Amino acid sequence: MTEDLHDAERALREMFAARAATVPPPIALHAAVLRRARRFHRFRLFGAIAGVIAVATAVPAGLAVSGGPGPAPLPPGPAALPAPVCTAPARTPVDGPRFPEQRDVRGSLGGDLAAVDAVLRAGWAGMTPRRPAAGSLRVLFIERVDGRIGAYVAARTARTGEVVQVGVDGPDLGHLSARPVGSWAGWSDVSEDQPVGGLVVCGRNYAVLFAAPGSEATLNGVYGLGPDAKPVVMTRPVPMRPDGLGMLPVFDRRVTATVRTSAGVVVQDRPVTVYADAAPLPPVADLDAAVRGRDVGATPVDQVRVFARVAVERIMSGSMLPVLDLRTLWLQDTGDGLAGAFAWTVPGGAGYVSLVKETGPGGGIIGGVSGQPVTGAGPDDVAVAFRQDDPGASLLLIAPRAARAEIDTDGGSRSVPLVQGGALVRGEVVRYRLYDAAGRLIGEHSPTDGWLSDPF
Amino acid sequence: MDDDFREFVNSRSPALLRTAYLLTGDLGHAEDLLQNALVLAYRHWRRVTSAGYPEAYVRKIMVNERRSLWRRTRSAPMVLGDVPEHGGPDEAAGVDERDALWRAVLAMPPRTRAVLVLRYWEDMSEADTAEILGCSVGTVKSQASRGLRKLQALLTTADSEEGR
Repeated sequence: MTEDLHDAERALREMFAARAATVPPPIALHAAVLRRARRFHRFRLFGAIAGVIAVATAVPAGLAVSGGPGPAPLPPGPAALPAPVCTAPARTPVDGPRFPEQRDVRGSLGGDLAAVDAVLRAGWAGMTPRRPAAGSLRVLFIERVDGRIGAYVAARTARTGEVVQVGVDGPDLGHLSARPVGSWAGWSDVSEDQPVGGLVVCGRNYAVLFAAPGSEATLNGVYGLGPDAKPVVMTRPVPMRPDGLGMLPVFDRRVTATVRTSAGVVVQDRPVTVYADAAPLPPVADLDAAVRGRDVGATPVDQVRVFARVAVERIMSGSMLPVLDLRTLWLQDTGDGLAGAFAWTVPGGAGYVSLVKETGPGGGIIGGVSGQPVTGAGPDDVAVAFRQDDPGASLLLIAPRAARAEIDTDGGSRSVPLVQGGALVRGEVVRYRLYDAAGRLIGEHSPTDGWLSDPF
Repeated sequence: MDDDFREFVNSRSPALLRTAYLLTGDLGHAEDLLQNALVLAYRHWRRVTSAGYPEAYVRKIMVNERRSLWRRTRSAPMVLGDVPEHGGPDEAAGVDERDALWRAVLAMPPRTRAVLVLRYWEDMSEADTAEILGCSVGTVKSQASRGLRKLQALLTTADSEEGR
């Protein structure tokens, strides 16, 4: 190893030590592991059965299996991702035993008996494999959030007496579905034992807080924008209903909640359950049209759409802030697989760009976000360069408004056409100029402009 | 069995969580990764302890769970670049060399990052690293060298910009 690499090794060790020192000790990990181990055991069979039932009952009638008779429809586009459940067809009303009449349910729809009945039936359908005792079925809350419906339903299983809880959600009372939230032994008042929960409502994660009427609650570890438009961690108060229910969307898996009553703190920094499979962020622009309009050579359009969908998911789940105005800057088959550049903004207007690449059949899709925000008045004004770290490696230019680039290298200058706003340039580039279709110079850039590191 | 396991979790989980954090770059994901590994270890605890070195077992699960997760989801975690991971006075002071190194490590392919963490954080030998990752010693050497070269290039660039 050269002396230079010893320097890098020393710096790396110091950096690891500094980073590791910021990690707080885990709290109550042993108990959490035991809970998960037991829950895993309980839900292993339940989940498998419920999954089969869900697939069997929830697939829209219009969908055909790819390769089957008739034309195979395209998979859902990225635009459908944030609210997949909300696009489901209406469910056939579920017959069930006579459910107990319930009043005084928490939440803004808790006083609506028709809503309580619809949620009970959806919850019952979601619990069917566990065979709960119908008489024990109980709606814990029904809340209308962001125009959608979210609810919890709990019941005691007839055989073991275990409590099973499901989350129910949908765009309206005619389109409800349920998913397991948890199970535990012994009936208890949810507001005392489980005051902090999580719920997916139409593809978005929400923190759910149960507390005594008049309680106050905060979400901790929430990302917001600081005065310099940079993300900062903050504590945010949760607007609580008079009945002690609070729901707020969460975008980060590290969010915790604290609940206080006049008597003191009920729970401190209790982690909020955030479901990884839900789209955690608000809606994005329609990428479908952008994907359809792009020439990606011989790559089947289905593959392109799947690629774009995975890319969108990764960008949205990787960002600490709500992703707004996500759009495709560039999408190409590089010969080694698909690659795409996606631009997006966060509240406050700061712009970022992500480069996503398919590393080959079965090799996975890898994403990386730019080392710094990008600037530009509009989507077409973004011009970014991703440079590989290795000497002599390629530079990826992306500039939707440009038709060609003039590249300066140590060996001279040459003109490079931009195909659909992008070009991959081999060699050590020291400067480039961008020209539009009319031949006008629209930009000149050198590494001091902040060329980004190609993560691949 | 429960007492042994509780003692193991209480005594070793802080160190394991630090390793998980360096592997994932995200505290929430690190906690999930460690919990998953401990759940697996708990389910096979007798076998794990009878083989000795339960910490090595959990570490191996974490590394490979992390890599298999990448394969399953056909994706890697996002590198958050200029978006600071935690707001606060340090971030306001600007991006320093360690931050740049951290971002560079997060941008590396999963196996390269795992090699760097095991070799230069856990101080494991090349042979032990290869055993955990299920690859050859030569691969460990080349991945470590490649990772360090990238970091060195970053340091050299920073030095030259400072000298201007």
